[in-house]
Amino acid sequence: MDINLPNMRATLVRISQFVLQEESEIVRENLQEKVAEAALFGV
Amino acid sequence: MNENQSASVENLQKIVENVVHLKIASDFLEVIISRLVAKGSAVKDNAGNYTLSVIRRKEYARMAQERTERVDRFNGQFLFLLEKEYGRKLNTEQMKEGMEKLYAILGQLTIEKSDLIARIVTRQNVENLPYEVNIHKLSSLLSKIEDQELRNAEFRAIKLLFRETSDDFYSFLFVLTQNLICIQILNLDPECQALEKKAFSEKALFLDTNILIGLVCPTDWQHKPAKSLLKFSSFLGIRCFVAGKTCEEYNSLLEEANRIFRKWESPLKFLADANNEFLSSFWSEKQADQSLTWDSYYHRTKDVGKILSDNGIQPYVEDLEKIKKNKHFERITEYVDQCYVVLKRRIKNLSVREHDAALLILIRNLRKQERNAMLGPNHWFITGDDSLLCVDNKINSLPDFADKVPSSMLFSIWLDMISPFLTIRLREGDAYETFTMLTKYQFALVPFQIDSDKLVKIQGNWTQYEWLEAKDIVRIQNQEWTKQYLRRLDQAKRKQDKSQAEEIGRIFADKLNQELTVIKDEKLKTLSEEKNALLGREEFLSKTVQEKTKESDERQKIITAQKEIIEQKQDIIESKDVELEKENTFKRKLRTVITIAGLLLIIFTVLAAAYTISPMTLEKVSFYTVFLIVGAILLFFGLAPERVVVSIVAKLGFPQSN
Repeated sequence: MDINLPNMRATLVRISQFVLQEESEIVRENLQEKVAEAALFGV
Repeated sequence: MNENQSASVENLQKIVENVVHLKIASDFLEVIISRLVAKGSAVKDNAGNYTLSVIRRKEYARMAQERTERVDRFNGQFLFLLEKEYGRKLNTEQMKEGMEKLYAILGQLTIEKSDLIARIVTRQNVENLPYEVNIHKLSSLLSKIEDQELRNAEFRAIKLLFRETSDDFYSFLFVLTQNLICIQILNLDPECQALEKKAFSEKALFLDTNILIGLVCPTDWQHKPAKSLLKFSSFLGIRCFVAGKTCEEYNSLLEEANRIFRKWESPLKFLADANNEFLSSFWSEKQADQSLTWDSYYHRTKDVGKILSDNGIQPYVEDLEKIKKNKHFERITEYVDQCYVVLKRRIKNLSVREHDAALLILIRNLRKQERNAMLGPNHWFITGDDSLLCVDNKINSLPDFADKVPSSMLFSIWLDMISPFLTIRLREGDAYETFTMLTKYQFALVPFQIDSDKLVKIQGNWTQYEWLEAKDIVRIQNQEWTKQYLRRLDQAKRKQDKSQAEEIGRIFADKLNQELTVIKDEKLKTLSEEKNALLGREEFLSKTVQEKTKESDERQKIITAQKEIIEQKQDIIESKDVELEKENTFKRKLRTVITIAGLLLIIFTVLAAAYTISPMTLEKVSFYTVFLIVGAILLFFGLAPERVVVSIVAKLGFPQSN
């Protein structure tokens, strides 16, 4: 990810709204699913 | 995408790419979404498009709302700080520019750190990792603000935001860092083959001396993070070791503290600000337990075996001679020195340099025996010394070191790396607290510290002065003539030149006395100014009290006057009551008389009529009737005059008044 993004504020705020981490033993699947969920929510 | 609107996999792929700059192949994304459908988190419609389930959408909406509110709050806090530092109202453009720069810095901080972690975890692009993932680039980022006053205000406001702000800011930063770590890992390895929680059970951490000291000394800023490191490691099944050479280093630092303490003749209170963690921790513990002696503290702290077993750390016996025989050992020792001098502008002694070099080589050797390690290599040297990554980058340029992944890792980075794998409870509790503490530390004001070794060399009766403070000792230690004295004293001692030592001692004493006089005068001046300020304040308060007393007296007068009026009114009311009572008594008597008169008149008329009934003439009848009517009227007046009046008024048709 580029550290000189033109709209850093909006990008960081949207990323911070993700609910990526939840309790799960299978970290890999959990992570992938949370990204997909965030996209479905349209953060 | 609007709420409740379904999207195709291609659309979702674009959203992921636009929002988090993450590229996932559409077929792979479809596999992931199918898992969500199977779990009931997402729904697939007839057209093959997907939506989030109602329950999940509600949960997301609540969380997103909560986080947006937090962001709004700390944005407001930042603008408040910026305006306060700027000293006047900001216009819209200035606010916008201020916010943009703040987020540019936050982006730099979090993206660089998460990128570093992702590269290590996935073992991709690991050469020349940045060894400074911190806020040192603040000035260069702010240099684009043309208004110098605004630029300086922004610099101060950002530091204040990190140092003093509320949970809202750190909560945002913590979640952002964790999410970015995951996103960066996915970017390098979309299938996340490296991500297995159980992979941590293969990890072995070798703790540096600074972590061990942090663990033992509660006054050390690394104490809490070091404790967290062990707690989280234990949770994830990570084994922690301390090498024999590290124990040696630890003991040598403890012996240094012991040597200084034995020579310490200054008041013990100055130990609180000593630059030796053992000495300041001893002082801190002594505050809670006055019976604690240095000997008991020293012997307890010297028992490394017990300290290690109490904290679940295993001792590791390395073959130091074999490590020292590595053909690059001396060169790496030099690298340790060079990097420390460049980054810290200080010198590491030879023993510490050799320790660091030995551990860096040991880790590289141990890694050679690893097979299929996930989440990066299994062996790590965990340290609080950020100059070691610079050494690692230099080691990578040497032959025989094929693995370019650094062997050392800052423990703050390690904590960030493992926190996504912790339970929610651990993450939102200890992990968040430790993250906040470590991030704040980067912006903390550097506290002054007494060089304890120097103090025992220059101490004397002067350190016993009641008015002397720790900052005064630091001021004396930082004087060029003190440094010169210590250098020349060392030379004289080496030459065993007693007369020269006495001579430079006299010169130092003169300088010291002059400086102490200056410090004392300054303190007297400050005290005098404070006294005057207090007197001024007292005078002001006294005037205020007088004014208030005067005001109070006047109020008292008004109250007294009002009381008198009330009393007079009460007297009037009482006299009226008496008059009213008299009038009532008179009325009662009058009514009794009227009643009796009416009654007597009726009886008399009836009796008279009975005796003179024959012959009854019209005159007689009229006469007795008049008497009876008069008697009845009198009787009614006597018994119920109000009713009689009311009924008469009503019958006559007069309007009734209220």
